[in-house]
Amino acid sequence: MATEGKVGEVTPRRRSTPWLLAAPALIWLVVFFVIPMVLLGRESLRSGGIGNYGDVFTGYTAVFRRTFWYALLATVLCVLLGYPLAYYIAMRARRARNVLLALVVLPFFTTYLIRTISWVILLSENGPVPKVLRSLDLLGQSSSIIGTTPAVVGALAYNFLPFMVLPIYVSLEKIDPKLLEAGPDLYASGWRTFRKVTLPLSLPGLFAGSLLTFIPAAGDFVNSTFVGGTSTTMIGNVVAENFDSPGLRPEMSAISFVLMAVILVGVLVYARLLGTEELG
Amino acid sequence: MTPRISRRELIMRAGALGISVPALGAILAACGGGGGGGSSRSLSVLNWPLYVEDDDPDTSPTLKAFTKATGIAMDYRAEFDDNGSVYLKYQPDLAKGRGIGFDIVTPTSWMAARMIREELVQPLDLSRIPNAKNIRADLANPEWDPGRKYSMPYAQGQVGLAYFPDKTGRPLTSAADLLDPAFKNRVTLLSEWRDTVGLFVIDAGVDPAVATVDDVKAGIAKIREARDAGQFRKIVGNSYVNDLITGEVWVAVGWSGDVASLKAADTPDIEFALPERGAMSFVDTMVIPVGAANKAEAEEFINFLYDPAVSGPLFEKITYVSPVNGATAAMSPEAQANPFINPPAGSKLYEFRAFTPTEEEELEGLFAEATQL
Amino acid sequence: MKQRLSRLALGGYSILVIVYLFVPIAVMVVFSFNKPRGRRNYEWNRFSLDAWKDPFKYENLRAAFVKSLEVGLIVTLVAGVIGTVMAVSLVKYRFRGKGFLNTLIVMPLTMPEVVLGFSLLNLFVLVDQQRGVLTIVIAHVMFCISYVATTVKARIRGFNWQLEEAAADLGATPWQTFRRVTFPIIAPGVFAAALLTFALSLDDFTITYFVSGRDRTFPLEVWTEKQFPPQINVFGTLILLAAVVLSVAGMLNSRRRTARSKP
Repeated sequence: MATEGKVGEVTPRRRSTPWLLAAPALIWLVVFFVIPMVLLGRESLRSGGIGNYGDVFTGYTAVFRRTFWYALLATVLCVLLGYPLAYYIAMRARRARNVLLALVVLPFFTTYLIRTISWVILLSENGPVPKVLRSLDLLGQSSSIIGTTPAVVGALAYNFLPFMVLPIYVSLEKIDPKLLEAGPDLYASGWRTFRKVTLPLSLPGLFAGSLLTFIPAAGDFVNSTFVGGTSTTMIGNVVAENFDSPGLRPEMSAISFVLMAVILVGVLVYARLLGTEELG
Repeated sequence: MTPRISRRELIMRAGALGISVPALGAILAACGGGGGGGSSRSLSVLNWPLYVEDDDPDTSPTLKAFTKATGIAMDYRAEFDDNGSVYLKYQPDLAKGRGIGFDIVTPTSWMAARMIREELVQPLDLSRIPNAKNIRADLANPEWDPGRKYSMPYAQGQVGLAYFPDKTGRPLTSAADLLDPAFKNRVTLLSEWRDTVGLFVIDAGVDPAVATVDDVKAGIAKIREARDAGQFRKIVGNSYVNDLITGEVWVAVGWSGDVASLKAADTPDIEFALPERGAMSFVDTMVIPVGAANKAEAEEFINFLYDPAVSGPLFEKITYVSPVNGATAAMSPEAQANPFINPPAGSKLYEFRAFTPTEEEELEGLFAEATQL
Repeated sequence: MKQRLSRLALGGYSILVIVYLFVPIAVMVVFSFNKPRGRRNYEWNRFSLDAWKDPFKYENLRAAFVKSLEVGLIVTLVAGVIGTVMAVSLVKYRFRGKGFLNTLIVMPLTMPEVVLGFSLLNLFVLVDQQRGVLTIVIAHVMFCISYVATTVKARIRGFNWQLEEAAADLGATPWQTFRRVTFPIIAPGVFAAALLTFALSLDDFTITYFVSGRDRTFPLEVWTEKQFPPQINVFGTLILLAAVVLSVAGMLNSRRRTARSKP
């Protein structure tokens, strides 16, 4: 598999170099993330000890499953929507590239809440979308869009699309055009070139994009609150709703750690599958 | 800039407000020396939205009158959105005895009870609040703050059924209407469990003030059953109002003030019904947090609000129920007849008793299970 | 012919996706011209220019918006730099502890925001740190490092580090090497990460709520504004216009530069 040159890592001349480079970010994360997490860990063991973690597995499995399912669907949707777009911007739109990238990110400079409410306005009973769908007989008179799984997944995918597009774009844009020209020269079809050259080279971007979509989606609660209903609760809703009760906080803390652990395991598996050496 | 007023002026105006001279002396002393016109005094208040005209100290007649009369500049923030999140945000500081930058906050009674229990608030100097005697008899002695040593009610409202008669086809009269299959998937409940479950407890014939944990559990069980059957569109907080506006929902458990404001503007055909068996009432309560920099000013403000001549016009505008005796007399005839502002005598309004932390935890957990999982 | 068709299809599909991205934005712009019946801008009532004539009517919105911009710029700078440098370290070097670092940078993303926010608040209270712009910046940088590092890593992967060696062999100092060899190649990744970071910081509500003390950012104002005046939509539209103008200017500028540099 041809790449720009020697892939791989360099053995640092001085042992301290990589650590020095990583130091600022590392220190920031240790002080402002790890330490708070240790405090949270203590909280999760309060009034119930390790049993709190056991409770998570008995009481919340359905919500967890639903959450991961939604996040997965949203991520896949983002790939389907975002990859072609990223490809187009990277490969086909040399001149308008920056404008297009800006267009992708611009919607996200308006507040999350405004965007979600705009969807509510569109998808709710008095809004245009149900009316149109009903006139086309695609929606029953008594069913609605708000409160359904597609609504929540669609809103999730919408809100995380730039996080999929941008990483894929940056890794596609890097590909040497000569490599792509080599394909047809060797009688490979466009699709074959894509499959054997482009796609593998874009895997780091695809991996990054999937991470930046799936993980935050799994912890989200805003979309489910506004366009969801009583049967679309995600784990983020449970935690956000109940974290303020001192009595339930240990359990909610335990849930958060379980969420983190499951996601990390999933990410490791995914990294293996894609064959990227991302996690060490 | 606050006007510098002379001591003499201050005494005259204080007299008009009903502040006695000894109390005034205490206030002046607290201002840091009795000499001359007061230093610039200020007061920082964190309150719920729509509890004061325009939510703006510069245009609200009530707040302007207060500043004019006392020289105290108001820093008024209508940012109290939800008991839980405010508690979560400020409890760490208060538990350490540190101030949070506000002199008055207005949690709902059950949260005020918790704050008192956890010693996050300061006792009131009732000698600075002579108007406290104007408090309505039914609010004067809650079990969680007998004698009102730490808290004074700000406003009272009701929890009832907000609905669109043309959608439901009939007037609603009972909490059981929430479970009517004809309204399947068109009903929202409040995520505030006391308000929602309370309606069902009342409907079962139990007075929430003496309800046992099992009575509450029975109410929660009913909700859970209906939810499993898909009866409820959502179980949410403040955003239920949006669902009423967008037409998603025909019936909602809602707060009286919200519905009054909806009826006045966004959705004129909405109706608000208190179940015949009885409804829940809520009382948002003023407390002075630990570490407040302007305690005396806060007490002066509370005293100001308990003047019926002030309370009447204020509550007429904000369409909630005043905790002050005599406020009704100071309102216009329309307001006096307005059930949001002056519920008819004999209305059955209830509040839950104070639960112990263990009971609270259990019930919260059960409600969470019933509504979220 | 087949190639042209597939190109057209790709182009069309991409335009559709962009249109889809802008659907709620269009709603937002349209509703900035609405005069809602009551306090909430949820249903179309009638056309009005009132909000546009008086966009700064709500002083708190304007002040909050400016604050959000300030915070956003600082956060983008700080997170951009330390995240990029971390990303370079993680991709370039082989060293023990790399797996730990790679996992660490992903972990903040996995925690629900309310938990992150509250835990950070607890830390600040513990050490008696006053809440304000500083704590907001600290919190935002904390979760943005993950986004920056992940995005830039994707860009650097596969970089031929021998180019750097070659530059050094030709007498370039490490700084010159970085400036002329490494950075131009990773720049698009850094730029993309910067865009994402700025958007995230501008957008964040939950974490900011906990670590903000009395300061108000734009999302905080919008979220707790029980009434949604059309002025909020006006703000959103203005941001949009500003950003479009900036990017078009940027595009024209780079066109000019490429034209000039053509032999």
